[in-house]
Amino acid sequence: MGTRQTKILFFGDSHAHAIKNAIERRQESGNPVNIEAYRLLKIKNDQPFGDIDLEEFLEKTAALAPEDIVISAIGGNQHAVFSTIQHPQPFNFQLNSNDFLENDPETQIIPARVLRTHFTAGLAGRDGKTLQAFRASTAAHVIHLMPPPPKEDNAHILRHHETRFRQENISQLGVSSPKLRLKFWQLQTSILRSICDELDIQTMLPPDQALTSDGFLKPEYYAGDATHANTRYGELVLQQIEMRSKQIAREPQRLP
Amino acid sequence: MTQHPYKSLPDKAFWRRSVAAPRPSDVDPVGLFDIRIEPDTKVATAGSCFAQHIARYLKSSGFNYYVAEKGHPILPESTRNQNNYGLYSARYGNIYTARQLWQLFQRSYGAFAPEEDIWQEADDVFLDPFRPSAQPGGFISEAEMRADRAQHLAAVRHMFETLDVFVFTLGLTECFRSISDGAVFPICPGVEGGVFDPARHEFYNQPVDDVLHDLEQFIDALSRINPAAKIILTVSPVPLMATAEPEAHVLASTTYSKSVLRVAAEMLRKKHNHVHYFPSFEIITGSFNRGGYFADDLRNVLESGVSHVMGLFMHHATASQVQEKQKETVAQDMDTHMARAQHLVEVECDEVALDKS
Repeated sequence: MGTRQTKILFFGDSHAHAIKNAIERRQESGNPVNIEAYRLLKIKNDQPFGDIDLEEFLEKTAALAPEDIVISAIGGNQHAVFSTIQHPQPFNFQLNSNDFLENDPETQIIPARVLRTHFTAGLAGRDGKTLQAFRASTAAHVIHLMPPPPKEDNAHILRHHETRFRQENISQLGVSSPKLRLKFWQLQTSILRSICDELDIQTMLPPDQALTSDGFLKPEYYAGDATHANTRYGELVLQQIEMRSKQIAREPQRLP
Repeated sequence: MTQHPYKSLPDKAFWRRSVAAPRPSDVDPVGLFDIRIEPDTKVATAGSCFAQHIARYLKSSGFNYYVAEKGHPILPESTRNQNNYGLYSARYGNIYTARQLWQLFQRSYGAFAPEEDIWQEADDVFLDPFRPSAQPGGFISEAEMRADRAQHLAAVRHMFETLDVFVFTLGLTECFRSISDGAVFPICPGVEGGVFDPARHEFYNQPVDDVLHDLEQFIDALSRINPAAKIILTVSPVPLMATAEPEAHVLASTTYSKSVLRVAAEMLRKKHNHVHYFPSFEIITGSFNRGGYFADDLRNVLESGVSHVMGLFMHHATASQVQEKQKETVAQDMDTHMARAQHLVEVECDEVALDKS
């Protein structure tokens, strides 16, 4: 009797694009990967965009066995929406007690717990509900992939950015400090980790190889916009998923 | 027929005509109150928990309820509200005593720096002893608390310098203070944060002279930085949650406290043309309503009572256009207020923590 191959389903918003491209490239190179990736179906400019909606994906996850894996990459850009454009009233926050708070009278300090309240409400309301639906739908392992960290290069962001940032006048207002953007990503990651812990969902950080020593996304993994990573990054994530899959296979089987 | 001074007095000078005879909802105990608030008048508020009702009504009435510390605009209003921005004109929390108000003014100009100026509750929970409930959950570090306090005090300075009308609700005479430098705390150390230490903290029940002295200094200092500023004093009708006066009964202590504050308000109103008194205390506690404005706990004020207070406040203080609109609303409230369900309005009141049993 042959060993059953672990089934891995991947589902995400825009960050799924890099993963799907990486899977395609693997297939083209004759080294296919055992991951089915789907991008959430949305309507943009009256045109459908993506593969399947959440309900359809949940039907797929419901059919999985306990040893299978669901990878979530839903949401992800909330930190960037909040922190990419330089706000006319500069602000800063302290991520934790080790984070040095510069004394700049022009910069308003927002207490960390105020921001955490706001982000937690937003993330728990949207991504949290989707993650809850994943968890409730399946006996399989569920892993949430954290979004790629911000890009340190402000010039890149000014040259290449999403329509949303153009509409919000990024070229006039400018780009916020990379340090602030990284802190927002770290805040989001920490909140998502708490949400996932409560839901018995594992988390997966961005691959170390893709990060600078300060924790930004390395330029070679930039996609051509302000927030997304490219196919090479997607390939690193695929390798990470494959490695995690092997680890899970070695673990004692989880009870449904 | 003999002429005497009472012959020419208006109805409001007579108990039967103005207190006993009218319907409770029609009782209007406002005396001399010659201040006008226009839609663009910047009205700032501070005081004990009852002051939150005044702030709430001003906010929803289309007036320029002045908030100098709004929280960063990148945050939605709901988040700012949750974190007490806009509860008052700056994020100072409840200011119960005249001494607390005067020390806030001094601290905002760097004229007073209390020695006990931070309470650490856990590795990542730091409180400002002078507004321990302002930041839900506390600040994550000493640096954050100090940075937030610096911008808070800057907002307080800005508020004092730019407001048109300052409504201050006097709440208590009882407080606890630092033995070393006299800094008064809004709530006794050890109740909402900090550690009570009899070697460092003492009970202080303000006599009328001290209340007058503190308010006189405040009034004088405010006039110097903002000569056009007007002040409305009110006395909170909310009884003391607990008294720390040795051997005292809380009811007697409440009478003492409110009497001192009422006397101080009256003396200051008479002394300064720009200081006014509004009788919130009388509207809520007057015998004409037979205690009907208090909730079952005989302490919290019902929405019907707040409506009566603020309806009269708007009626007497605001320009006719807005006044008429308010009158309609108030009339509606008054028609039904006694029969209405005992709706309790939520306010942030640190004092509740004094009696958690």
